[in-house]
Amino acid sequence: MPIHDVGYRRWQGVQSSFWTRWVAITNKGFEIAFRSQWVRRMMFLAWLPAVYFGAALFFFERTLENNQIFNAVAELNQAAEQLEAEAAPLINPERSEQRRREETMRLLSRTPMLGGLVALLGASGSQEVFEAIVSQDESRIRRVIWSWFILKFITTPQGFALLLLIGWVAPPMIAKDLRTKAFLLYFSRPLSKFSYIFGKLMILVVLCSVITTLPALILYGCGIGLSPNLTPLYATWDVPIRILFVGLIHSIPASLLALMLSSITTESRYAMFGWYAIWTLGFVTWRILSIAYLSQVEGSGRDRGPQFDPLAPLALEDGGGWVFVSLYDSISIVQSLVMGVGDFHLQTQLACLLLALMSLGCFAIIWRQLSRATLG
Amino acid sequence: MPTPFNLQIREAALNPDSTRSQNSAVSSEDQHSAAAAATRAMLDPQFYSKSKSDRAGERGARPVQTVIDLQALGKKIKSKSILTDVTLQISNRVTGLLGPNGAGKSTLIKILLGLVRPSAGTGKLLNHDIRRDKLKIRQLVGYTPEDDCYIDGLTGIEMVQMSGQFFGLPGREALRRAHEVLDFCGIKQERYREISGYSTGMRQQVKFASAIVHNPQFLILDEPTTGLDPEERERLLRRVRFLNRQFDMGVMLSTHILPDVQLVCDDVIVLAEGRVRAHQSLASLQNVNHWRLQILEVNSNISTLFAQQLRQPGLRIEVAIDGSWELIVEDDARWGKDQVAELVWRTAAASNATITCFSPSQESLEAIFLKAIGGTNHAHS
Repeated sequence: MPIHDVGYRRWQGVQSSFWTRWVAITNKGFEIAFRSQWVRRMMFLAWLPAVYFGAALFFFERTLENNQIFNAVAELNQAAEQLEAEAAPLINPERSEQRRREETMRLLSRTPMLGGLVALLGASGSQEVFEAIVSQDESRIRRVIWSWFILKFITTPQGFALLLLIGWVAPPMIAKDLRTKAFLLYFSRPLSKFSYIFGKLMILVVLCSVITTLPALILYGCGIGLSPNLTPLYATWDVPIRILFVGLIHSIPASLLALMLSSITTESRYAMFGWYAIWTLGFVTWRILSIAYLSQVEGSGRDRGPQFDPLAPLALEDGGGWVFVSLYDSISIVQSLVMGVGDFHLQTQLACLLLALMSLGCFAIIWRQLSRATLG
Repeated sequence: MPTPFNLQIREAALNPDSTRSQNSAVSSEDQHSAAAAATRAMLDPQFYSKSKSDRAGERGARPVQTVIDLQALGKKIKSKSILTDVTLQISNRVTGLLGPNGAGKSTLIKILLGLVRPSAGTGKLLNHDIRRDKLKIRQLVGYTPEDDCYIDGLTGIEMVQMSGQFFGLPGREALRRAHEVLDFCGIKQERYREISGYSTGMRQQVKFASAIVHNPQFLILDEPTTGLDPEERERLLRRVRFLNRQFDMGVMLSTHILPDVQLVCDDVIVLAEGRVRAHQSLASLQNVNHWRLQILEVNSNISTLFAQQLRQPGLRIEVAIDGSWELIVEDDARWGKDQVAELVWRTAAASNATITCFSPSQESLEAIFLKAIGGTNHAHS
């Protein structure tokens, strides 16, 4: 028996706005997600790559500090000019620029620090990285390399961690509400369908931010904090803003897709299967297409096969029209554009279109499913 | 014998106006103690078992206002009419919504909450247009759905708190309030367990708590006693009545269980095939217009003669299951209580019949319900 029972009373406090009611869904959803031990473990593991990238950032700054980069570039320019003069009559003029870049990068790899760094970044196919290094402009090199560095961090280890995490957390989100008929409890309250979707979406966006945006920002902050002076800050002041947008580009379409899959079934395992199937099949298909393309391009007189680099297709100016088969690569391409290390070419345009259409389509399907469920 | 203290708290429970004036005038401590006293009074079984005339007396002191005003409301889904020309005025009393399955009760409720758009007609709930002001209406209304629904992964207290937050209560305040209403609904330590492990009855209680957490002005309860044991059912109905009496909360109770309606409702609406078949106060529906008549069967000729002489325009005689006769008044204006009695005694004297029982009887709600839906497909099935 209660010690002090005041019974039912009137409540006449100040109510929050209709437009902030989604916060309750997000808070509670986040709390429920964190109750899972697996989610906590995954979150912890997702932060580990930050250590690796932190060390790499340190080595890059050391390279820059010791002028290794400029010495290497001077040597490279010399070698490249010589190579161009010798090889000009032998190679197709259309491909001379590409050959020059490849040779430069091959020579770059001979320098211990810088070569390791470029390999680490996977930037061997990037025009921006190449141009920045060759320009010998310290500020530009720093901005481009830092951007590449953080982009790689977000897209590769964090991108995969995010796929696993969303695949674990999102499928039951709407499916369970469908199964337990919770919609009548939500929508008989002053809560709109938009607030419901937004609240659910924000759970995933916050989770994504915790494993992509937040560590990337901390990485950037550590890099600046450990710098001997404020020069890196001047050169890279826009990187944190870009990180925020890059995080949203990953989290919003992916989260809407996950919620859409969750809304079309009451069995969350089907939604989970659909989620992993879409990403895996797309990723594998695009890899096969990319390798086939590279083999075709490099097949004539090249002695080494194509390198398996997830971002290599970014360097392709044509033949990249099939990018929409892979959601992962489409997102990576748009992220590289936002990060300032990609061009707005055909692939990027297609990727942007794909993400926009997919997000809108997913939102429309969720809306329709909610309307149907409410009507009973 | 009630003690003076008991009388005092009973007074607090039965006189809502005095409690309300206290609420507005006195300090919050006094307000708490008045509400606590009223709650205890509600738990007094005598409060619940009072006669209808007593309840009518309670109601008589309070102004009756129209809360829901529907004009020619209709709903069609794929050319099938779910609701047709529903015109209703529902007051802030306890109104029972009766009807067979598929009568359109749930659709009507969903239209009121703005979950379904009506195909025709207009309507207002608490002076808000049901087509335009959906969120405002939901803010003022508490609703417990019929289905066994819950938000998976939440404990009882979290679900009520979350519901409070949907109604705009700030987080901490919603938690405090959730504890308060769960105390009121009799959910003790179980509130810290996940709802998925609750029994159907406990889920009903939590749904009810979620619906009243924000102090709604109008309460819509869709089959609230489904899955409750008799004791829980009685407690829930007592709470409904208490909220209506003490807090002036209008209630619409949609149910199949006629005794529930008989126990708590002031008004009754009968829906069948999407149309309003009856809408009256329970008291007027159950007016004494039936008389139970039993005569001593000495000679069948006497009985036949007695029955023949009793057949008058505006009166009908039926034989009940127990063999007694039911004298049904069809013309109230012509056949008052005295006229019926005079006719019966006069006829008995004339036909030498010996009357062993002659008493007024009320028509059961079930009979009223069946009569109201008579002629529909439901009645035939």
